[in-house]
Amino acid sequence: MAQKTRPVSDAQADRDLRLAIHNRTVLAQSFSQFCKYAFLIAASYYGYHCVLALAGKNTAADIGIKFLSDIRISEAAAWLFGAGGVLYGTRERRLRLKVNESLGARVSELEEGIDPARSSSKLTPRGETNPQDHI
Amino acid sequence: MTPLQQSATIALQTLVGITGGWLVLAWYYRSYRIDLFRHRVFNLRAELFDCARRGEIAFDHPAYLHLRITMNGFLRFADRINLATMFLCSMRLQREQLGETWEWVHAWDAARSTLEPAMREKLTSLKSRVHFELFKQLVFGSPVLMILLIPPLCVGLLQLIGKRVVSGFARSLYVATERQFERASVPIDGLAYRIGSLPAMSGRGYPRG
Repeated sequence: MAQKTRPVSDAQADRDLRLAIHNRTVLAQSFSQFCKYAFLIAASYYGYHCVLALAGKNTAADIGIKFLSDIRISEAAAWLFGAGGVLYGTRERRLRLKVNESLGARVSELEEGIDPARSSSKLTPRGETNPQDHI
Repeated sequence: MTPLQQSATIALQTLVGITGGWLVLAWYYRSYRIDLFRHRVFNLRAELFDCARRGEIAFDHPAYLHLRITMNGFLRFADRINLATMFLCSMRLQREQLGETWEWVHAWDAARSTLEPAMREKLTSLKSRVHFELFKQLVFGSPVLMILLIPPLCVGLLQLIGKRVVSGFARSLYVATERQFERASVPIDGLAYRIGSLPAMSGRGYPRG
């Protein structure tokens, strides 16, 4: 028996494919986000059990004092160093985005002077993902 | 403080440290990799623009437009590029006849064929470099993949280096030993030859027959 096939227009096939790709992208992004937050949830769970073991008959303030009193100077210095690095990185990034904004606009303007039909990446002036493109 | 509480304190401190590391890796590092990828593709796009500015290719040439638009696409959706997206999308695309649906491949080939060989080579090289950046983004842009892939790769590399070093050392040791043994074994060879050339011995040590 010959198999009946429904003729599908090119435009329809293209639309279907785009939709399928979009769905898969959403799925992949969801998986990626799940991995990110699953770790934090697992860490919170184990953290909660650590606090339970620490708690006993003590108050939350006692636990905090115990936790802090057990940290040595060398460890505190390492924490400070790590946190300082993150803070420095964050500020550097902010500065770079500002520089992107100021220089990028100028580059676009100059390039448009040479090629008026210049196509764009549709990113924000700071070089970040366009809010409209967020899933 | 009881031993259990001490252990719990250490576990809590370790957990805070690991969580902090994860936050840096999953948010800050990922964001940095996306920016780095964009920066490098922007540089490649600027290189392409410079080719057109110097008059090596027209701004409205289909090959120029194709490559620029593709680069724009990578720049625009750089935040979505990861191994999971690549895997799922390529699985879907394999079922499609890509050339007929999007005609990208045919159009790119057709546009490229109208260029002079030097320019064709230049555009192909730019496209390959974009792909190389994409590959790096896929591998180094995913913290999970890095955790899963980098340690086994390092171990594999160390094993490979170790094997080469060990086998090289063993080979040179064998060659040196063989050379020394060659010299030392000459008298033994001579003795063996003499013994071999002796007539057959009887049970009491006398030549037989």
